Amino acid sequence: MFEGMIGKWVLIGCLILVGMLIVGLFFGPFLGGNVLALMGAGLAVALGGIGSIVAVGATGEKAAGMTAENPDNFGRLLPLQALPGTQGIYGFLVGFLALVKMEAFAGVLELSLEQGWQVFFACLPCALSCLISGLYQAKVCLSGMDIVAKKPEESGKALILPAMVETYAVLGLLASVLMIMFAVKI
Amino acid sequence: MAVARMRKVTIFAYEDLGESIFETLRDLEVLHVTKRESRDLSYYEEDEDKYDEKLSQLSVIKSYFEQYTSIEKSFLDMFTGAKPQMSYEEFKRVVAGCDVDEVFVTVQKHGKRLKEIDQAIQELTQRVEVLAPWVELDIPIPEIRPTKTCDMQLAIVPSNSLNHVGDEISTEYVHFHEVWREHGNSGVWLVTLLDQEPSLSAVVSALGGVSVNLSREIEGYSETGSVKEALNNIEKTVSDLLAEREEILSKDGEMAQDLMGILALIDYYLDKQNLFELRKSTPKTRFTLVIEGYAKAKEIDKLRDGLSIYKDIEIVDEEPGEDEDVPVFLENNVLIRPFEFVTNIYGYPQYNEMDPTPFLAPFFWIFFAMCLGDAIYGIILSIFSIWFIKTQSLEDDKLIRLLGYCGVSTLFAGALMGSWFGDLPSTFFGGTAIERFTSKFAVLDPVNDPITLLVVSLGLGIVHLWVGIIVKMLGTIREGAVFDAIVDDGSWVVFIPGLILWVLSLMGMIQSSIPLYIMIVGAVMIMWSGARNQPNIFMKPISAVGGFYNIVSYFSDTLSYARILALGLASAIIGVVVNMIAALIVDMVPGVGWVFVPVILIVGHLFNLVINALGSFIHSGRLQYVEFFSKFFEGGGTPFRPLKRVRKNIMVID
Repeated sequence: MFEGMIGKWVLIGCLILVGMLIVGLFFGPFLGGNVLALMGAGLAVALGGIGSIVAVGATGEKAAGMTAENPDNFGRLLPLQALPGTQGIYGFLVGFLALVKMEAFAGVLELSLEQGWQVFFACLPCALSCLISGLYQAKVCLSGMDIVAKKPEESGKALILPAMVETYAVLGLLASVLMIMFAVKI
Repeated sequence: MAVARMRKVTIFAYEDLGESIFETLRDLEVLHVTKRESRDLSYYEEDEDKYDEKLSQLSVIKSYFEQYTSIEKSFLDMFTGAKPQMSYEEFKRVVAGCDVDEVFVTVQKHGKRLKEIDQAIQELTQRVEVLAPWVELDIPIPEIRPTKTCDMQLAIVPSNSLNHVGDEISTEYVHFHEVWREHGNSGVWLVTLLDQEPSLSAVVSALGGVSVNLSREIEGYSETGSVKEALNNIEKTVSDLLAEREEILSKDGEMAQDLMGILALIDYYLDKQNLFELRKSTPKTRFTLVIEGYAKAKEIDKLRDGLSIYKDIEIVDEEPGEDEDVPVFLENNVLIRPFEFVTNIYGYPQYNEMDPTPFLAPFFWIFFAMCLGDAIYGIILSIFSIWFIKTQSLEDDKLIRLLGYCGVSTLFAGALMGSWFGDLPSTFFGGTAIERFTSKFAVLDPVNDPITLLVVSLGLGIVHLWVGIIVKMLGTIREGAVFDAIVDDGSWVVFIPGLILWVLSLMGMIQSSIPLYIMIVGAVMIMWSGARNQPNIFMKPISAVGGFYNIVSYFSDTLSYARILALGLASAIIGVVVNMIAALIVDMVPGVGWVFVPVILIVGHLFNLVINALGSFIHSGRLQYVEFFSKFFEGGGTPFRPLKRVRKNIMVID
């Protein structure tokens, strides 16, 4: 069932992204650079968040069912549920760094349109990679829970397989962080 | 250090001794018994059924008892999988003293009776619901029936229809008496003359009601047919049933106190079953039993001592053969042992392979520290680990020790990166001695200068990969192919540092031309290694250049270590965010804002610690499995699992 939902959520995420892009393209000159930058920061937080919400929701559902079946597995299932939750944190992190770059905590800077777009695009790698990797990582976690059910002593392996998917969220995060810190000229 | 030496053990014994020998072996816990395909031994079947039956009885008893009581488990036990403990004397007493059949029969009887009582009570409650409104009816129910001239009925009709009875139907020959009125309905007693229109049922339906017959409800509970009497009798029966139920429940509650005993018995029979399975799969002749297995070379004497109580027995131990699947036991010193946990997640090495644990240990230690990278988190981890080992009895404390060790490295890494609960010292203790103290150790700032940390991460990655290739070379040398090892792997061992140093010298960081020569030597070796297995003389140059293809995979492997920076940044920045929120709240809530600060700090940092410790562990592990192990490690060995008592539900302690 969850497999069928992944496409839908990726689509929703991309629609939000495209919507923001269109808003920026058409109304950017009226809204100003700060709004564009905030849209980018918001996208990173929201898309990463969506990925993690859906993922942690689906994994949590299965974990709860399996805990009902055998409460002893709770400790092994919890990390598997938490694993796709990191994408939301990465998204938040990038959003936060964008705010720091705007000096939001020390009297906001007045960004030009160009600077606004720079921040916007710098946020995208993390936003997209976190959205999609979160969803697909959940898929691996769900299958990993079957390892816990059938061979509890091999639970460690169930943790490593989803980590492969997370790699790309980490790289997206890194790319966004480096872009915001060094490539955005403010 | 590394993989423990094993001896192949074969025990020849009289068939009659089988059961007793297996029990002795189980208590010795030194022999890994090789299981064979099960053989046809039909004369054992009876035993097998016996254990199955006992176990299914016990599981019924267990789930029945668990309705009444449960073994208390703390929150931590859910993570440690700790089991309730029982002394060996107690265990022996339970096993000897419990009659499973009897308990089973009682449990079944009680269960059945409870169900019956519940059903009876439910049925009686329904009767009471129907009867209760009619309690004032003073005509016995059997009397309400057509007589010679009259027709009589009880009916429930809407109360307001009674007010205008005369409007719609002629009431000349109808008499009614309202017995009760409730929720807009009335219970009425109706009489008409027979052979007159309208008939009684027509009257009832004209009033919009239904006729009722209570004879089924009072059946068996009223001799005279009076509703009142029936109600009284039903009430009495119900209270009797309830009393009986209470009695059974209290008996059950008492019996259920013995849940531990039942758990112990389940383990006991599981153990019996396990030994039986083993015995069944043991090759034997008519009189002789042959038990095959492996024991650690060190423990052979213990095995022989333990079995010396048997006279008619022959134990042979020998060096395992080349192509046997010898079980693997990792032996490392106390510093390295916890890291076996990391190796074991991936699997066990083959018996003839090197144990990768000592090689991965330092890297895992450092990578974890850099990913988590906060001094106070490190201290918390170490303290938690010590506390946990002290207070909890763990079967396997490798993971928790590993966290303790990594806490120490995290403390160092955090101090070097100037991160103590994020930037807590400068946020809340700016200008004080605390800030001066913490900033004394800081050499690099990951948040403001991530490039340096990126270079360090990638640099460590290169060293990691390089060590991986060296280990592979050592492994090949160990197998005797010294020449292959030096040409195929040694070439890279020389080339990679040469290349790096050469790039550094190009950048002007090193004023020397030696790196260039090292690199050239390495490159020539790589080309030779690529070309030497190519039989076609014209293809040799192409194969030689093709030898460099590996550099692509080494390059992408190296980039993977950028995750250390990313995770380090993640934990550092979330720490900073927590501190910032805590600092903002002081101004946001004037006066009492300080009250919230500790709460926010503790919750926030705890969250950050937990989520990032998980991430750090997994990603440091991944770097071992994917980048490091792929250089040299094959794995797939069978873990050494000596025959032991089954401890599924409880822990028997001496």
